[in-house]
Amino acid sequence: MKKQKFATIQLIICALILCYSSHVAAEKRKITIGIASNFSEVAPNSYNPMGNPFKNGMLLALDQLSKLYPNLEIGLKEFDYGNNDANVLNVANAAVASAVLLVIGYEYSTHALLAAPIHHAEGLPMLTPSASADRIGNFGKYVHMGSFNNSFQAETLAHFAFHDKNLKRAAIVMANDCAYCQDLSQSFRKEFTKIGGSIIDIYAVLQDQTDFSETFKNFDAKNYDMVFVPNQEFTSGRIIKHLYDRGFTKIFMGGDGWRQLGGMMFEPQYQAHFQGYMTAHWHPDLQTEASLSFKRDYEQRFHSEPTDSAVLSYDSMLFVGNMLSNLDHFSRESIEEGLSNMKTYSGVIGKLIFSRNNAPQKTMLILKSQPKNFIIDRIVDPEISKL
Amino acid sequence: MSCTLKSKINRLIFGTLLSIGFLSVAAIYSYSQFRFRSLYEKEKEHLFSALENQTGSVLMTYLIPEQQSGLDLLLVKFSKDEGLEKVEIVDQSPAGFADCKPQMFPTHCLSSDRKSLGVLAPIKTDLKLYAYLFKRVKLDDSSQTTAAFMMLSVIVALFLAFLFLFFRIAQMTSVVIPASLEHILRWLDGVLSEDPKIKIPDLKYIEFSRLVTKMKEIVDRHKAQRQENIRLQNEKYQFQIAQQVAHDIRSPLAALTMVAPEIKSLPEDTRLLLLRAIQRIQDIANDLSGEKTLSTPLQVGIHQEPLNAHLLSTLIDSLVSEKRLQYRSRINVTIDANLGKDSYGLFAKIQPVEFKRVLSNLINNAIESLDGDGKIIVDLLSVDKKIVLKISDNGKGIPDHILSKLMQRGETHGKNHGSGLGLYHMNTNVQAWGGAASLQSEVGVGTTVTIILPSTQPPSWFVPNINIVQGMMIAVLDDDNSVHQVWKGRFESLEQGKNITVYHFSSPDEFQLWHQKQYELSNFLCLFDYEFCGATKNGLDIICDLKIQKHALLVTSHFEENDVRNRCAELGVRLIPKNLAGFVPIYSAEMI
Repeated sequence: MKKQKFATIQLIICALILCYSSHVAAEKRKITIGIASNFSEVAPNSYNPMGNPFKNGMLLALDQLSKLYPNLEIGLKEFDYGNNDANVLNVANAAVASAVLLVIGYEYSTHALLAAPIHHAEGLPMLTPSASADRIGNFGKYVHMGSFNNSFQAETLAHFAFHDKNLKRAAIVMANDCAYCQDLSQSFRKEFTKIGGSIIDIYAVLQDQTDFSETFKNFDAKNYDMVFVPNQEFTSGRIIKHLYDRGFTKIFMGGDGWRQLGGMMFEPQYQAHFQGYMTAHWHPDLQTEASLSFKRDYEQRFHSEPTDSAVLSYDSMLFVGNMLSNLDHFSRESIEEGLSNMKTYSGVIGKLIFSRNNAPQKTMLILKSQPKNFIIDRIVDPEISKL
Repeated sequence: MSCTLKSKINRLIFGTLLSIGFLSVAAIYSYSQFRFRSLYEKEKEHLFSALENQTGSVLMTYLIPEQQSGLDLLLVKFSKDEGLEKVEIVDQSPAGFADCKPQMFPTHCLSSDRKSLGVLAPIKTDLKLYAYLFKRVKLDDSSQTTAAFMMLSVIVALFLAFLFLFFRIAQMTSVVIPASLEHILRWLDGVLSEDPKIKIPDLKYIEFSRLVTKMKEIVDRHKAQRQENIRLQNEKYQFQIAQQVAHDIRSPLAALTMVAPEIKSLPEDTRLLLLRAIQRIQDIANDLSGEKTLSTPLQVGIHQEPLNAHLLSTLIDSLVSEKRLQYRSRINVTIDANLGKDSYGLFAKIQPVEFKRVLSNLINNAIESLDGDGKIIVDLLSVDKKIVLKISDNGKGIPDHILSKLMQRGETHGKNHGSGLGLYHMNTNVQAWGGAASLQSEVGVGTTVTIILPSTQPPSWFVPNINIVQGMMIAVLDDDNSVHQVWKGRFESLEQGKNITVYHFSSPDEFQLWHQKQYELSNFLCLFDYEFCGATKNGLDIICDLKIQKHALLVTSHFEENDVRNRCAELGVRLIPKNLAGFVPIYSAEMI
């Protein structure tokens, strides 16, 4: 009798344990992540209409994550700094003061450089998917990059120009009010001169400058083999058009900031002679399974072609989701720890190799202009590092 | 305050021009202020519109080392984009912009020379202030716009001034001038209706005031003319009445004249007084009936009577006698004439009737001034070869303020029905005689009228003095015993010293009898009366009969009668007024 009674109690306890375990297993893990970008204004320098490509990439990634990690529920909280760079400070402070445990955003180097000190000081992890200024990676804890840095792309371009294209004399036209531009210019100049090239002239402009007649009044096309234009797409487009109109029909090179430059340069009057090379994170022609899948899903959901911003935010959200899924609990410290401990990740943009307190190494594309578009000229493997 | 229409219009034009100038200056000033403020606000708004982005961009250069080299370009761009005079990064108030105080928010201010607008904005985060962005822009107004507006202002001012001028002139012609004319018409109505309350309107413009003044002058002149006409009309009536009186008085006067000499029972003095009174009435009647000019009635006498030398004492004496008779009922009134030795032989060229009338009026006035009783004294003197006639009374006297006016025409005093002509008449006559009249009076003491006349040579008939020689016989023929007494008294002192003999005769017969007895009668003097009571012959008849003209003097009260004088002149006999017998100077040969 006693044994029966004991066995009954044991059964009840087991049933309770099973119920509890199943309950625990079924419970979703919730986290709110901040996304910081310009969601409300049209930027004058680059094609990122109200942060939509960036946000779309995030949303598409969340769809994927919900399938991959059904118990992980990631909520997004927008932090909009509009088109005012200085407002980034307010947004960063607001994010720090909020309940979010991680902020993904600050896509441009300027914004990331403004926000990074705040995040670092206040202990709120941030991840910038696309900002590439070298110094971003040096802030230490809580500041993470999802893209290669400017040194990587500048050095690659310098070698590409000097060795592959045999361009020895270069002029640089950079926007002085742009951290990315300054950083990329500096890296290119350093590497290009290091390998034997000459920087003949450096022309300084401003990002929203439209009239370059004064700037280039002493510009002589025959002095240069190429012009390096390390600026954002619209600024670069205006500069290239102006120089083209002045008779410079040689090679232009630029970084990943060119993004949608093609839209400007493939106008009828330029498309025949425009020779441009740029670095990129992704291209629609990239024939990897992940890329094709991403492109298909993105177009299906948002009815438009994805951009670099969308791809980078998509991959960033995915590897953050992957990292979160491995965490026991969610806190700013645990997430920071998770991000810092990431080693590699394969996404749409290829393979990322993370290193603590530095930009990840990742696949880079060199695109070249064709009469009507840019095409992939070559793919640079991050593990090989150089061309 | 009155003014002329011309000056008013001139002032309007001047005021309008002044207004144009003032309005233009004010408009230009206002516009420049408005323009300045507008420009200020516009530039301020312009500078502020981009300020947030600019300070944000500059802030980036502080926050992001990579962007520091962009600062210079940014400042150049700001300057170029906004057409700034200057843009710079400062850490305190920029020079010349003391009002732009560094603060935690953007401020704006004018430069000390008010030619530039400055905006000073902090470059900061919530945690740190880095510096200040200072932008200054020149507040340079377009001179062309200003000139155009100035022209527009002047045109508007001219138009406004023209409107104002037109309005004022229209107001003057439609309101002010008709209103003034209406006042004048109302005043004229009042004047024509002789409204005593009507007053000269107080008109705004001098032209109207002058018009009213001239009209008033014409009206006053018309009134004076009308009063003069009334006065002349009255005088005409008076003249007609006087003529009627003169006509009516002649009949009874003729009866009196005829009867008077026959009244032998009366003493000679009384008879003479009666005859003189009749004579005066006759004179007055003649005067009243004479041809007169109505416009100058008071000069009638002067013109009618010729100016001749007259012995004033006799005229005065006879008139005083008349006046005593006239006022004999007023027993307490004394009328005295001081006609002593000094008055003898004082002749003046006068008109006797007028003289008596003057004197009569003066005595009448004096008597009227007496309060019940009193004394009137007529003095006749010779002072510095001038004749002084004084009529004094101890009546009520005349106040000074009236005294000065009394000899003016129409001025009277103390009479219920005084015409104001008496003293005026006196003064006019005296002046016509070459003399002067004056009044002295003291209230409560009395009044003295002084008449000063130039003396003249006595006529040939007058005996200035009687010369007596040693042993002379003097015959006095007069039917009045009192006259004998007078002569007796006069010669008494000479009878013994000069051995003269005085014979007294009371009738012509007695004299003729005496005369017949004198065989050698050469050193003698006859003093004959003219009229003898009960005798058929007069004194001149006897002188003529006896052919003693060279030795005879006619002592008569009829010396004023032309018949007597003429006959004396024919006979070469001189006259002594009988009443002056007591005063005629008598000199002995030694004395001469």
